[in-house]
Amino acid sequence: MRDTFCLAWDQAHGAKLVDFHGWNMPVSYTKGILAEHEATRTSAGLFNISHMGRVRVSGPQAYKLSQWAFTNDLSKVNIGNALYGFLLNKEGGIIDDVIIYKEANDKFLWIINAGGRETDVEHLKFLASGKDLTIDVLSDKTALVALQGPKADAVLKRLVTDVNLDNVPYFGFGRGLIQGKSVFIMATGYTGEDGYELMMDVKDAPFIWEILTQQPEVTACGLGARDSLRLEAGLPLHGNDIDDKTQPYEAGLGWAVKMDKEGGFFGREALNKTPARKLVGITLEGQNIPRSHYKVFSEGQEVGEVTSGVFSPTLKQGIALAYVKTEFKDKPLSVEIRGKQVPALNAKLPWVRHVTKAKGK
Amino acid sequence: MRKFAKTHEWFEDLGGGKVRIGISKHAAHELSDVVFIELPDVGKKLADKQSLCVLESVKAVADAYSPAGTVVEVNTVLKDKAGLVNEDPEGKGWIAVVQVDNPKALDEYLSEADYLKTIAAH
Repeated sequence: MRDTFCLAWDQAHGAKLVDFHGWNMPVSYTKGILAEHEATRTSAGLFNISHMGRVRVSGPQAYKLSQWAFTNDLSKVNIGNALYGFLLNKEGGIIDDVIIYKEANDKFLWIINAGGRETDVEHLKFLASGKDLTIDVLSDKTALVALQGPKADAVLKRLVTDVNLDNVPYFGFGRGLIQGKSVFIMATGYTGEDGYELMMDVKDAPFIWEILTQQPEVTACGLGARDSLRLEAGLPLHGNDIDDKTQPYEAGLGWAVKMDKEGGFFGREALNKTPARKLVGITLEGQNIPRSHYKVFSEGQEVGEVTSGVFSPTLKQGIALAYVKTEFKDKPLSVEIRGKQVPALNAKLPWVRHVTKAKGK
Repeated sequence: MRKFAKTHEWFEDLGGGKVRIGISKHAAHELSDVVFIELPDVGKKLADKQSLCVLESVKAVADAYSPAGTVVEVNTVLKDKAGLVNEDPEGKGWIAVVQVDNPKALDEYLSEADYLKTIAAH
């Protein structure tokens, strides 16, 4: 298992450590998932997400590669802003869901998932063959932490210099300093809250993490709260809700695919806009919690399966994402829990979204 | 003296074949953030090592098991306060009292010291 910069701090603060995609990561600290979730929704949660990967593509053909490898349209984004989209295989399956930050016309930062650190880079190198560009893997040289929640903005404003965070829109980014240490500040996240993701030199990370944890509004959170927060926000998790055998349209993520963009993109021809199954949100009433792989029924037949399920600390109910046969997606559904059919309410995604910062162009 | 199961329940012999059952501190910590407990009804008959109740936490679901017997008392406080299982798993967070069919049912289970050794080995 691999460790991040934060292991010593985690161990000193009662972290319950688990293996997440080969990384030794905290599922929660001593306060527990519920308290950490609540802290992020009402104040500010701090997450070490250094297991995720970071790749910088630069050079004369960096734009060409990034545009070809990515389903969203980078021609529509200005320097200082970012886009969410997918890296597809030739079958149109999602190798990874990523965010690309446009640093310059010839420089793009890709933030990728932990599980994509090797596969994404291999795929990018394959697509880059013969092109004039450099692929710089920053994953081990840098650390990545997320500060999320309604008070994240105020906390960061108190700590950073050399940047005006009011000029950084949602899905935008800038550079600043925390006590003289350079930080790359991205107004993105995975919680449904306002907040930031901070990339820094891995050598500075323990120092900056310590400063952030000492702010009175801030609670350190593990991956357990990160998962319940992202699910309430209706955000898919690669490896659970989407994977290399899942296409964007069946996952309801067609908005991040630009079929008609100039030059197209790798995997485009294989995409099916009218898939046989769809990812839907379901809410269960009473003391019922849907879990991954529970079966979904409609009109007496099995029509799908839960891919992510959790007790929603905000709604105090079980919520889930599930794939169901497309013709049943708007019909009454039920989830089989320990042999019993529990009626499910078709939910509109997201369940919770508190983002107030305006998106940039 | 309390006995413990490898499946992380504790059993307290109350005399007369009555056994109070809960989950261990270790199990409560591992499960963390228990939000609902599907409690058995008083009078429910249980086969040996049948599920006594289902504990739902934010992230996971787990069963607690019982020796064969009949449920004679349930900790109804848990209906609205499942988190008591995390706060005080080996005290106020007890789950139920079972009248066991075999008065020697607890003999096969571990002493606390042996139980703690088995979890330390993991």
